[in-house]
Amino acid sequence: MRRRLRAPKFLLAIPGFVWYGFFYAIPVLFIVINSFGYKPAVGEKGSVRLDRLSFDNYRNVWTVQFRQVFANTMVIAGLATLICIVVGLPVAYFIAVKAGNRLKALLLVLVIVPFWMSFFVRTSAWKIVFAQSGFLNNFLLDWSLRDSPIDIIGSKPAVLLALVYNYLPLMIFPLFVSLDRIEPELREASKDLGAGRIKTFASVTIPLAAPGIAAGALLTFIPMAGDFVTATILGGAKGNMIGASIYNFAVQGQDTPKGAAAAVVLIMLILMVVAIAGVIVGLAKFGLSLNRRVSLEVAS
Amino acid sequence: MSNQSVRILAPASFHRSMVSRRSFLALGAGMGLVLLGCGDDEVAPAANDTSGGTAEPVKASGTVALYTWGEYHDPDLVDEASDAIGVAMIVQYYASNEELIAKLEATKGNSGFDLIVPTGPYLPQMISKELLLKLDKAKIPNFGNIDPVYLGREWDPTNDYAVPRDWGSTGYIYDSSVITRELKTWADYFDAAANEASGQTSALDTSDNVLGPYFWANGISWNTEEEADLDAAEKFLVEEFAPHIKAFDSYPSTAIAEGAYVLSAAWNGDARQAYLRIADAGGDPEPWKWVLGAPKTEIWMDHYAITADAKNPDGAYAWINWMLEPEIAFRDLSYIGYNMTVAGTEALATAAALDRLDMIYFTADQLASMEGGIVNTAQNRKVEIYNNVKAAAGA
Repeated sequence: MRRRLRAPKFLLAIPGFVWYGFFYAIPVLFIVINSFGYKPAVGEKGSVRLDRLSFDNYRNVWTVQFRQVFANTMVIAGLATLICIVVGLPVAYFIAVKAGNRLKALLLVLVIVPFWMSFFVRTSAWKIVFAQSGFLNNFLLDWSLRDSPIDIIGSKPAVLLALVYNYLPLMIFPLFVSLDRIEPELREASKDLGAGRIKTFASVTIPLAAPGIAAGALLTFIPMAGDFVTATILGGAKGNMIGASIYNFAVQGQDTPKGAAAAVVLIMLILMVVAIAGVIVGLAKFGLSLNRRVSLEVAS
Repeated sequence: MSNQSVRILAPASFHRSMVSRRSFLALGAGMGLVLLGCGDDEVAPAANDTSGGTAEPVKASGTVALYTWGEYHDPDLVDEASDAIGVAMIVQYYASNEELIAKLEATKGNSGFDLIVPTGPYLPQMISKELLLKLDKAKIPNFGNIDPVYLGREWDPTNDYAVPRDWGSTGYIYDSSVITRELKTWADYFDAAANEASGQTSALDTSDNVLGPYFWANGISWNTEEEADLDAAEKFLVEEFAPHIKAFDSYPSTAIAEGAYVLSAAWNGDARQAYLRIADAGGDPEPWKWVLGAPKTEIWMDHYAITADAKNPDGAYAWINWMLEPEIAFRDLSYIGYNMTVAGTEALATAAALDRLDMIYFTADQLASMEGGIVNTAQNRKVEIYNNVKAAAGA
């Protein structure tokens, strides 16, 4: 038997590790370090002093106002994630299960099309549609559907809508992948065993698509929680999100350490929310499997 | 228009505006501004060489990245720069001096911006942070075109780093078809915001301009360092004002044209632009009323400065020099609606009967009511209050 010299398998992962190391881990590390420094006096060079480290920035950041903005952000991002699931699931299901191969390819391309345009332009375009003298309001007024224009820009619903629009493809793709991988035979078997469409969808398709839902939720929730552009363009004063606050601390306030502390708090809080969600999902799955095992025992 | 006709117009304008210039001087003294002995020949001898003939613009090449305030340069001039001075302009915008400084500082000498337009009181820290290039005035032969009254201010007494460009003030505009009573003061602004314009009001998006109106309304200097004043401002702005704010918008003119606000704080030139935007959008600008803030309001002066890390300083010099030609300065003024520092532009504006001159040029009484800003020990606290007002507005 000929033996070949084989490189260890982890070599393939090295480019990824190097990339993340340089462009992700190290900058984040600097942010963490900066968050313990302090702002130099007016006119001094540099944006952070590190000769005296403290938790002061964290204390200064963790105010009633910051917590309020943070709570708003979590609610908006959480709601937008839910809407993405509700809107994205039927679309992904249709593309994966119902559409023929050629239609499937076309639909997948159509889902990506909005990504061909810059995030900023996409979001700004909503201003044209929603402006008080914009397309939507003109339509409503012209057709006498309303007496006065609706005031959408500068509100939480505007931010919510644009977030869903901006991040929906990130939900549809993992959903599509997980739905596409479910063998049609499983659904047929479910029907053969007497389950209706809804029952099959609920107890076969959804549980098997769960990893896709989880991946989609993470891919949408995390960037939405830190989104800065959407809230800035469409949020006005009312749709303020935490990303904009961090920007204010670091840029408008010329206080890099305080902005860094706020960013670290955001990272920690997002991790916490995700971990809690993970535990809840895990418990639910465990409960479900327990339930199923019992019913199987009864059946046998 | 040739320089010749400008020269003829200039003395007349200077004479007529002496009163306002004097008050400006008096005000400057009150602000602690220092005027150097001035005169064209002392400041920039080169300027005299160009008198009588058409000045040949300083030429350069390449691109110049101009980092500036929104709606602050006539876009036609930006386009024409490549023909006139051989430089292609790339324009980007910031919303406040703090943002400008933070961006320059964070990139540590790699900002990519050549030319910036900071406000006076922010210059000393930018100079000590070594963010600015020391100017070679030989490369700005038109420097002598600047009315000497604007030179030698305390923030850059020898104008080694900054070329005064324009100045203005702050007030607000409102839609009188919604707010039918007459508004006159900053107190009226807050009152209308809490009533007729609740949820339809915009505030300027800088810490100074969010806090300023409160102090001006209450007869307190907006440069106060008193903790009690700042606390009172925070309490009022967070509790009484924030709930009514629709947006923090430094350039409300476009949104006004889209019907977003009925009451907007604005710098005078931007407020003037709002009238044009409303008309452009097919709306009726007539119901909109401009009010210069009262009893007190601000005065600010912006300057061209070249960044220490500029990739194309010669291009930046060429732009500055070109902008200091009276005819060009006048065209820029016609678009942005701010007092230009180039001597004779007021006469050109008056002769051309520009719309709403009262929004560009102020009366002696108005000038006397304006106070310049100072960056002092209250700065951090002001930013904190500004952040809190923003958070409260979103609650």
